[in-house]
Order: sequence, then structure tokens, then C-alpha cells
Amino acid sequence: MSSTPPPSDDKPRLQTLVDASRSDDVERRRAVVDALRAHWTSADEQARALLVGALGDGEWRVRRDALQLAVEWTTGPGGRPLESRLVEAVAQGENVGLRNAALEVLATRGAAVRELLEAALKEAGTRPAAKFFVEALGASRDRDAVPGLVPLVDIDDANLSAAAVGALAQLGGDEAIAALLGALETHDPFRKMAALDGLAQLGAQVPFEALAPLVDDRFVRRAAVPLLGRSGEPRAAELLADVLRASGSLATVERVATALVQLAGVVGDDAVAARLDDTSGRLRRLAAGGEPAGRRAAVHLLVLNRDEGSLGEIVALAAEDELLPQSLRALQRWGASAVPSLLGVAEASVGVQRARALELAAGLAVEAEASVREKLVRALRDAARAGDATVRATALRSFAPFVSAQELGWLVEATAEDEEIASAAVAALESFAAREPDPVRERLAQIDFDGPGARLAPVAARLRGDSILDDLQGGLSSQRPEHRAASVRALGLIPKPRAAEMVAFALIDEDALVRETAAHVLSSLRSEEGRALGVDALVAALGSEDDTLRATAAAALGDLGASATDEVVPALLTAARGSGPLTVAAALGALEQIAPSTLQELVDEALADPEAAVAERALGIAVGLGGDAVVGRLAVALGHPVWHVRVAAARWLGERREEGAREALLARLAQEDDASVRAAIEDSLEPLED
Amino acid sequence: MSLFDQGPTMSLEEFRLLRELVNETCGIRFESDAMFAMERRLRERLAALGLTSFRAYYQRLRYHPEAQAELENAVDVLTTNETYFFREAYQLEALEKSILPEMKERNERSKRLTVWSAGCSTGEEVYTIAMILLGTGAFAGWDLRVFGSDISRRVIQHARRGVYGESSFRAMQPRYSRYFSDAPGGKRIANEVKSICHFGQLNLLDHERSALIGTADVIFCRNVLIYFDDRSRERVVRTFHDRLVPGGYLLLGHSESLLHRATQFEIVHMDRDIVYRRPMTRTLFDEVDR
Repeated sequence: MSSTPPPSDDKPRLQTLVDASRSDDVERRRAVVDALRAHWTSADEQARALLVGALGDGEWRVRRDALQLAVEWTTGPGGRPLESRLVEAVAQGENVGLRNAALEVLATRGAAVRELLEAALKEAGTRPAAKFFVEALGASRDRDAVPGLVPLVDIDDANLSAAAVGALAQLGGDEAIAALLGALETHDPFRKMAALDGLAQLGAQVPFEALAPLVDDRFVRRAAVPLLGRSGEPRAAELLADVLRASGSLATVERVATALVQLAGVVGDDAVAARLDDTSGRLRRLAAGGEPAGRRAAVHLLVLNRDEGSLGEIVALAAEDELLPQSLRALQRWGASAVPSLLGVAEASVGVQRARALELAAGLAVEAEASVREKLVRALRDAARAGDATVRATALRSFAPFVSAQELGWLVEATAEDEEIASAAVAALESFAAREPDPVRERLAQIDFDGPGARLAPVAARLRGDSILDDLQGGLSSQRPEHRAASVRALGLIPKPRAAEMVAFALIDEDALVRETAAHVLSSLRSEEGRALGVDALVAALGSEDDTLRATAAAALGDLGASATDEVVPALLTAARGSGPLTVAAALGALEQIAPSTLQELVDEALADPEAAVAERALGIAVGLGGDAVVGRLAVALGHPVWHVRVAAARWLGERREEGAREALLARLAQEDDASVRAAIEDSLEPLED
Repeated sequence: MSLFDQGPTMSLEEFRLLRELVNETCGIRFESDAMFAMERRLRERLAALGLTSFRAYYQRLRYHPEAQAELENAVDVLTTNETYFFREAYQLEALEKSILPEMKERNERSKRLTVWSAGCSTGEEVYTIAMILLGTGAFAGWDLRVFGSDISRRVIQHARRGVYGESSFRAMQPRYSRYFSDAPGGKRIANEVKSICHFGQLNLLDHERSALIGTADVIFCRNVLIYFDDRSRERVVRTFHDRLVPGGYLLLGHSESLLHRATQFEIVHMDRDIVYRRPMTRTLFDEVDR
């Protein structure tokens, strides 16, 4: 905004603004828009003229300010005359900035300007302006505009026809799709291509028979490929693979690979894999140098094709966390045969790539023959003991199934290192202890739990039972919170009331990690007879004055599930009223888990709560409770002052597809200013409109 | 957790909620095709907290008493990227051959030079800059400071430790090897270099907190802005403008450009790079946008 807005209590003469709008100084011209906002409405004709002038200003900042004001004014008094002026601005051909700004404002008006635009389109005939009115109708998202646009698809003017196809693709619906399918019959390749793009944009299902001949047409092939991928027709795999083999450009390879992956999702991996002969070279090129989506697709196909030479590309993508879940599943089917090559990739890589290669090799080696396993164990041991922290931690985690008694010494030493390494070493030891407890019990007998040894407390607790209680006292007094938390976790493995008493003290620990761990442990700790041992401590914590402690306790009480005792529900009901927002939200969540029938009244109060934490929690609960009241409840939340609560309410309403949902969303859309919320409402309205 | 472990899966709705929350927190924008990457990286956090769904994790990030701490953990796993010494050497050459000589002349009286590496990850860039400064031999007796900041607490701790494994040395220039010695887990940066480097945790969207850095002569922010949405990017660029001395330089990554944006910076063509400079004189933006 301008730094020099006019004083709000001193309305300038309009002529002063007219003069200022001709200034060379951008900031003076921006100040004109500010003054219009402060002192006029669109009911004033001269003010409207000035605003339209500003929409065509040569400076983008003036246009941006004017555009914001024009959007406001179109909904106010005098909005309709302003819309008419904007339509005129679209028709003029001299000032492109003005035309684009006018189109942008009109697009925000949706159905309200459809008739105006249709009249302007009719009047424009085949003049260049007609194309812009067609685009504006498409942007209006009003499907009632479809019948007026359908006849334009077949007219001779190629530009206007392409614009109509584009607008229909924006509007969607059965009638628009039928018109676009009809356009595939034309001999004009441009129109055919625009129709294909439109159908792809709408997610339409096009019959295979209509698509197959288009692949031979070099010009429209590009546009037909995504629709073939979506056709769900096994024969499409052969056609697409042919295009892939014949493609020279990376862009086409990317498009075809993406379509093949999509097709595989419907017709099955095997049906696609069977057609991929002689495609590896192109796919590898894409995997190494394409855009992320193309690389993901290429790698998936290389995995399906069992192309061992591409393991480097597969690992590289895994290192970026970009490997598709279905690619991992397909890779699992390779089994142990890939392990030697993966170890080769690991040896030639550094950092995260090396870590991923080892991780994949370990994951595939379960049924490997002895010599391969031996090679893998050696590689993992070497990587776990020296080098990059990421590689070491990954190797340690992957090492877990292969640990033997002679590895215990260095593994225990690794638990004293940095957290990442230590926790991986503990996991490896834990896994080995589950298989062979005796050597681990013996090795841990002398561990001191008030130092780094505390990390091993849970492993030791599993092996030693309640004989470890006194030793854990030292761990609870450790100076480092992660050591105290580990001791608390260890206590959680001992089904004795004394363990619960010791954990209860940790609820008032100064460190959040320790408090959290204690609350979690108290909610899960059971006696040997199955009695919940932590209830008293958690209920007592619910009476604390500390909102964070109360909220932690409330959430943990919810985790008790069926083990909750009689005193828990009244305590939570009290906490759900008259507490801080965090406690209220946590108590509501806990009640939902253990006593949902108590929530009918509370949820209405909570939805009206100005605190987002409370209202959003209540939203989820309201949906879970269901019943006739749910749409009304969600509609209340649509008016919540916090934007993301409104987003959540809009999305839930979209999913409900119940009577009243559409009306509630439309009513909110009419007054909603926030862009994220508007987008969420429009998304939710889409399926409801269908 | 192995790559093959099937942890909780993320629904589109959960992805949207988490994506918006992360964007709100630190300006980083996850494109719609980044769902699987986000799912895999956050699974680690779900496992650590004993949660079984991403919805529960979202609730925790929004409303839990310890939400702020967990949000930092989430941003931590979502943003960490590998880096290495002497990355994008052509730009470092521009620093050494063009910018530093100019700074030496300009700051001759104060004998003080400050460089800020914004989004420094595990610190390789900070130490690289420090090694270049020391390696020129032109700043003996000067008050040199290289400040590194990152939103991730974990990478800052790594940077402070100053010990690096082999992957950090993939583009190392041999003449600087003298600044390293062998250490358990890799090589340790020399105290001579470390002593001029300072690290801190900073969200680049936190304009006020950025002021704690003071003013800088040069700012490096490479391969960071590409992850931001437009609005956040503009905020961060404005912060850089405010933190640079007049005539100070901003160096962005090779795929990042301010060419198509209205900014307060002027473009300077160097031998092998384009860099941005805060104008020496005050501009209209200084009057209007502050």
C-alpha cells in the first residue's frame, strides 16, 4: 500500500484525484486508489471511471491496488454499472493491462456476471473481443454458461473455437464433456488437440477406440497420451510403449512414462511390464535428468522392468525420498537377486545415497544365500562403525536382523554416541535381545543407568523385570532429559505399582519430553492382572494449575480406552469446561475415545469457542458423532473466526454430501474473504454440484 | 524404520492440512506431488511419538501443549538437505575474485567484515566462506565474522560440532585441506576457521529476530528460496535487504533469480555469475516499504 494515504477525515475533491491520477509519480497515483477506497463507492460514476482508469495504469502496483478495490466495489452499491464498465474494458483492444485486470475482476464474480458476459459475447460476434468473453465465461465456473459455448466449438474461427474448448474444460459437466468428445471428430488438429487437453484436464474417460487412431498422428499424439494412461485398457500399454520406443524428446518420454504408470495402477504392473522391452535407455535418461514427476515414473517402470543397470538411478531417487510406494513394493519382488548390485552401488556412493543403497540391500536380503548375506553383513558392519552419521545410523538400523553375540561390544559402545547413532544401536540390540536374551542380559548387567547407559534401560528392563527398579532410580536422576525419558520408558515395561509411582514423579519433570513420556507410560502401564496402574496419577495431574500438564494428562487418559475407571469421565468433563484451550481440546478428544455419549452438548459449546484448538477438535468430533445435527454443526464452524477452522469445516461439508451442505457452503462463499478458505469451499462444492 | 516398512499412509486431506501448517510456519511450499516424500519423512516422527495416523500428528502440531517443539522437529525432518564444501564453485570464485577485493577497499577503515549464510544446513557453506576469507591472506588483523543460520536445530548442532564425513568433501579444493584434521567420524574443521564462524537457529520469516544478526556485507542464500512460496520469498528478500549494508551483496543459488520480481536490489554481472546488490543510495522502496 502507498505510504501517503489521504487523511481519512478530509475528503478530497474528485477533481483533485483526477489531476493526481495523471501524475508521473507512481505513489501519487496509488494514493488516488487509496482515496477512492476511503471516501467513495462505486455508486459514484466519476469514481468508477477513475477506478477503471487505474486498472489500466502502466504501473503494476497501481493496477494491483485498483484490482483489489474493484473486487470490493463490484459487490457493493453500484456494483452492476461497474461490471458493465469492466465488460467494456474487456472489449477494448488497446490497453492489454486494463483488459487483463478487468477479466480478473470479472472472474471473481462467477455466476453473477454470466448473463452480462453472454450478452457481450453475442454482441461481439466474431470480433477479437469475443475470445476474451469466452475465456471470462470459462473463468466464471458457472456451468449454466455451457449451452452458450457448445456451438462455438464447431465454428470456423480457430481462435474462438479453441477458446470455447478451453472454457468448456474449465466448466466441466456432462454436456461440456460430450461437446469435447464431439470435437475429436474434427479434421482440424488444433481443435482436436485442445479438446484432448480439455478432456484430460477434466479427468474424463475417453474410449480406447477413439484414442488409438490418434497415436499415429504425430501432431495430436502428445495430447492423447495422458488419456490413454487413464483409459484402463490393457491394449493401451502396447501403444504407449511403442510411442516410448519411438520418442526422441525427453518431454514425450516423460509424458508416456507417467501415462504408463497410471495405466499400471489399473491394469496391473505385470500387464505393463510385459510391454517394456527396449525402453530402458530412454527411461534411464529420464530417471537421471527429468523433472521429479517424470523421474518417479521412469524409475517405477525401470523397477517393473527389473533393470539392474538402473539401480543407481533407483537409489538416487530413494535418497531424495521421491520413490513411489508402488515402486518399493515392486522392488521387493526382486528379492535377494538385487543385493549384490545394490552393494556395488553402495560402495560407489557417499552420504544419503550410500545409506539408501545399504538399506534397500538389507531389506531384500532376508532370504539371500549365505555368501550374499555374509557380504552384506560385512558391508553393514563397516558402514555402521565409521563415516557419515546418516550412513552409520542407517547401517545400524539395517543391521538389526543380522546382529550376533560377537557384535555386542561395539554395539553397546555405539549407544553412548549422538542420539541418531545411539537410538539405532539400541534398536539393533533390542532386536537381538528378542532373539537371544542371554548374551544381552549378561552384557548389560554392569550398565550404569544415570549416564549414557540410560538409553539401554528399556532393553535391560525387558530382560531383568522388576529387579531393575532400584537401578532405574539413578536413571531418573540423570542430568540429561533423554536419559530420564529412557528410564521412564523402561519403567513402563514393569507391571508393578511401584513402577507407576516412580513414573508419576516424572509428570512434573521440567522437561517436556520426560513429562510426555511419563504421561504416555502411565496410560499404558498395566498390572499383571491387566489393571491400569497410572489412572490415579493422571487424574491428579488433571487437577493441576498448569494447563500444559493438564492437557498432557487429559490426552493420556483418553488413551486408557476401556481401562478407564469410573472417576475418569467426571474428571474429564470438568476439565472440558472452564480450562485453558489446550486442556479443553485434549479433554474433548479423550472423551471421544472413552465416553462419546457425553459429548452431544459439549460439542455445540466447543464449536462456538473462539479458540481454534477447541473448535477444530470439536469439528472432528461432530463428524464422528454424525446424526441429523452434523451439517448444522459444520455450518456453525464455517463462521469461525480462524481461517483453518473454516477450511476444515468446508472440507468436511464437501465430504458429507448431505442436504444443506451445498447451501451452507454457498452462503459462506458469498461473504468469505480468505483465499485459502474460498479455495477449500470451491473444492468442496465441486462434487456437490455434480 | 526401513524403506520397506509400511507405516501409516497419508491421505490427501492430511497432506493439505500439514502442507498448509508447514507453509504457515516457515514459508516452505510443498507441491502436490511431494506427498510421498512428506509421508516418508514424517513417519519417523509418528513412530517417535507413538502415533498411528497423520491426522493425529496434525492435531499434535496444531494444538498440543508441546506443539511448538514438535513443529520444529517436523520442519527439521522435512527441510534437511545434503550439502558439501565448495558447492557451486563459480559463485565462490565471484566472492573471492570480485566481491572480497571490493569489500577490503570499502571496509579498510573499520577492518570489519560480516558474511551471513542464510539456510546454512550442516555448516559446510559457512566454513567454506570462512576458509576463503582466511585463505586470501588479505584480511589479517580484521574482525571477520561468518554467521550461519538455519531453521533446523539439529543441523545447527551438527554445524557447531564441525566434524564432517566423506560426503561433505565431494567438491573439496585440495589447497584448503590444511584446515582439517582427522577425527572420529570424519575430519574436524580447524579452530582457526571455527573461531570466526557463529551459528544460530533462525526462521527466515521471522523478520524481527533476523535483526539480531546485525548488518552483513554479504549474504549467501543458496538453494533455499526455491522451497518458498512467492509471498514468503518476498518477505525473506526484504529481510535480506534490511540486513545488508548499502552496497552489500546477495548471492542466490543458480536456479534462483530475482530478475522477474520488483525488488530493491540491483543486478550486478560478474565474470561467471549474476549477483544482487543493495543500492548505495536510498531508493523509493526505502521510503515506502519500511
